[in-house]
Amino acid sequence: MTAMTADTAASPGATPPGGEESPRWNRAQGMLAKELRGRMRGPRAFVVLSFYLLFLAGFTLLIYFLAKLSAASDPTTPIGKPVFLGLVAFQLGLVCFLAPSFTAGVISGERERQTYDLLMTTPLSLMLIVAAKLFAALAYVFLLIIAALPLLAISLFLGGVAPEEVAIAFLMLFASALLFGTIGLCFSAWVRSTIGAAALAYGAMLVPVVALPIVAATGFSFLAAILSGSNSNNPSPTVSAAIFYLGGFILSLNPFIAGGLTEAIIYSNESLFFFTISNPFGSGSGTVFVIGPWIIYTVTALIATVFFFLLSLRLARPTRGGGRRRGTPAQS
Amino acid sequence: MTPIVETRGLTKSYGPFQALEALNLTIEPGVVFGFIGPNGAGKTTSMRILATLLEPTAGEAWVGGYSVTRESRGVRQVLGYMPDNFGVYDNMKVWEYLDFFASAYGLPRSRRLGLIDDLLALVDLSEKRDGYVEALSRGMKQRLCLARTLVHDPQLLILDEPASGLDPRARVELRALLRQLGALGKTVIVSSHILTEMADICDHVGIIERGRLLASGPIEELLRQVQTSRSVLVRLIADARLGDEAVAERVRTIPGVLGVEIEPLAATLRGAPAVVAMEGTRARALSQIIPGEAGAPPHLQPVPSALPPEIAGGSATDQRLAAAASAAPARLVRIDFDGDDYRLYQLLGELLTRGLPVYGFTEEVGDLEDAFMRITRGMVA
Ligand SMILES: Nc1ncnc2c1ncn2[C@@H]1O[C@H](COP(=O)(O)OP(=O)(O)O)[C@@H](O)[C@H]1O
Ligand SMILES: [Mg+2]
Repeated sequence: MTAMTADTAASPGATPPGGEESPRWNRAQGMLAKELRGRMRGPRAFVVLSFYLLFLAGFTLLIYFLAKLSAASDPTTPIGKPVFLGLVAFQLGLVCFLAPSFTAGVISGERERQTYDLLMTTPLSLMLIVAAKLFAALAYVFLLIIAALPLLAISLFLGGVAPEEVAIAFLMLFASALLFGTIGLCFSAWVRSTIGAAALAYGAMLVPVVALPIVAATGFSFLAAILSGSNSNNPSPTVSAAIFYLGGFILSLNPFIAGGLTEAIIYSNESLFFFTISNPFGSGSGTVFVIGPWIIYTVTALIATVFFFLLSLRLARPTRGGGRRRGTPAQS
Repeated sequence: MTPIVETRGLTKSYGPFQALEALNLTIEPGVVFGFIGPNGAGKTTSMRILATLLEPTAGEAWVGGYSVTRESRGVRQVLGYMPDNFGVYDNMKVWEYLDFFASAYGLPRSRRLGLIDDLLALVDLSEKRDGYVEALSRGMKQRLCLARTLVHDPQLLILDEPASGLDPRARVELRALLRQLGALGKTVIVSSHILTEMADICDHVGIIERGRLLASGPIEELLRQVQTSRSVLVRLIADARLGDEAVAERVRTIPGVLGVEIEPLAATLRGAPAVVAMEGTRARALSQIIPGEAGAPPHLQPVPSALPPEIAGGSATDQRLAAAASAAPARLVRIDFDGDDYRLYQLLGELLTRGLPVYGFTEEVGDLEDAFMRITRGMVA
């Protein structure tokens, strides 16, 4: 018992002698180890990864043969492109569905298991706890993304794919993982049950991924009908430019559309970052500026990530609201 | 000495419901403090506020000099908290569990491993070191959680109903552990709704009901406050020459005596229902006395040999007494007495001087339950 009377009290704040790790490092390392251990322990994580890669390889082969078949008439067409697009689209879909579900339990799970109070009475900062949890939850998603790198390399060899495309794809995949991960995190901190948090996080994810293209498509056709019906002339260049910018921004919030538009830009041999179009709406309509849709998506996603992360910090405070068991008055 | 816990006007409302009303509590370092009250009294609420898990609606509280609302980091260094309901992580081994919390307090790895072994030895879980946490029994989890609260050697432990849900054996072990922690010089606040459980572990108690602190202080002081007078039980061997009235008369005139009640002891022995019909405290007092006298009651045996020589002396009086003993019942005299220990000693001398055949003289110490009932009754009235 001697060890715990004098020994341990002195440590916090003090710099340990002999170049030992600082208390802050010990905290971060301990928290991360705990989170990663909880997720990676046992054979499950490894088995899932193996099956994932096996499936992905099969998927790649399927696209490869389909592309080969359709390109049979013209053997000069590079078949790297369809393989690349198929792989990236599949991974993007996977990230959209896995990221929120991996993070939806991180805070609510501790609350459900009644371990949260114990965590909250330690000197671990909320920032560290939430960041470590987010990182550990997304680490597996990142692993799944990176593990597919060899398959993407194959598409490079098959031709028709530029290395920048692969880089952009990775950027968008990581940004998507962060965005949908923090959305799940936010609901996990807000809602008491993990199931509820996961349901809400999926709902929120479906807004840009599914609802946005549908709403945008109907909105634009509606707008086009109004504009052509009310006025026999074309709309003024200002209105056209406004619709162009707004529509472009909204469409770029969907990762699939942003990726597709980026591909279109590559196809038309324009700059991936920034270019201008002169007189797009008839002569004298001026110039419009086009920023790469992947940039718009990535930057917006990262800004939203920061926002949702900070919101999660607020929602994860233990003193928020009436304390434990909201809604059901405690009977103990 | 600066108090380790101090609350001033601490109030907590859940919507319109006031769970805690202006709690003023002071706890000195080094005491084992029992926080006693029925379910829903506000014990958990108070403890969660002290543990920085709940914000008070009004009022302030300090732990180790740190404000629980403004200096929660300081509070967390001082305090080890064990909630009433807590879970453990699955997928974690016992040593990993402690290692994680030790790292959370910033301890370097080199220090953690030795500490973990010490803590596991303290709570008697050494052989479970490499087992999984979720495979432990409830009592073991409770002890592991207690070890967890100790990793940073806190000055103060707040344990919310640690004994609830434990089997009797685990309870006994837990109490031994709590006493051990008290001996280590830690301040321990332990809540319970079971009074008798607290009496022999706690030095101080606070009694809370419906969010209000009814009384707080050292146990003996509290009992003394509640008991305005002392209660002395005197047992007299049977003496046919003395009537109840004569005995009462002789006792009543002794200085400091406030009241006298006489019960025939043998009658009580024979008629069990009489005991049952008696008030709680008295029934308990009697039940303490009766077991020793059941079987072969001493007053029915040849008395002179049982008396000390100064009193018995083998005289003729004693022969007569012995003869009378078989005919008349022994008596239990309950004396309400006002005075300190010295006056109590004088009372005994006076009883003997006045020729009363005393063979038993004990002070009846009221228990915590009794005190609790009196305090809460006073509150309702
Ligand atoms: N989160 C909550 N919301 C509403 N009422 C609560 C909440 N927590 C506790 N209460 C109420 O506050 C009172 C005190 O509860 P508690 O502090 O848990 O009592 P104890 O621990 O003494 O049994 C109870 O009546 C309880 O129902
Ligand atoms: Mg309680």
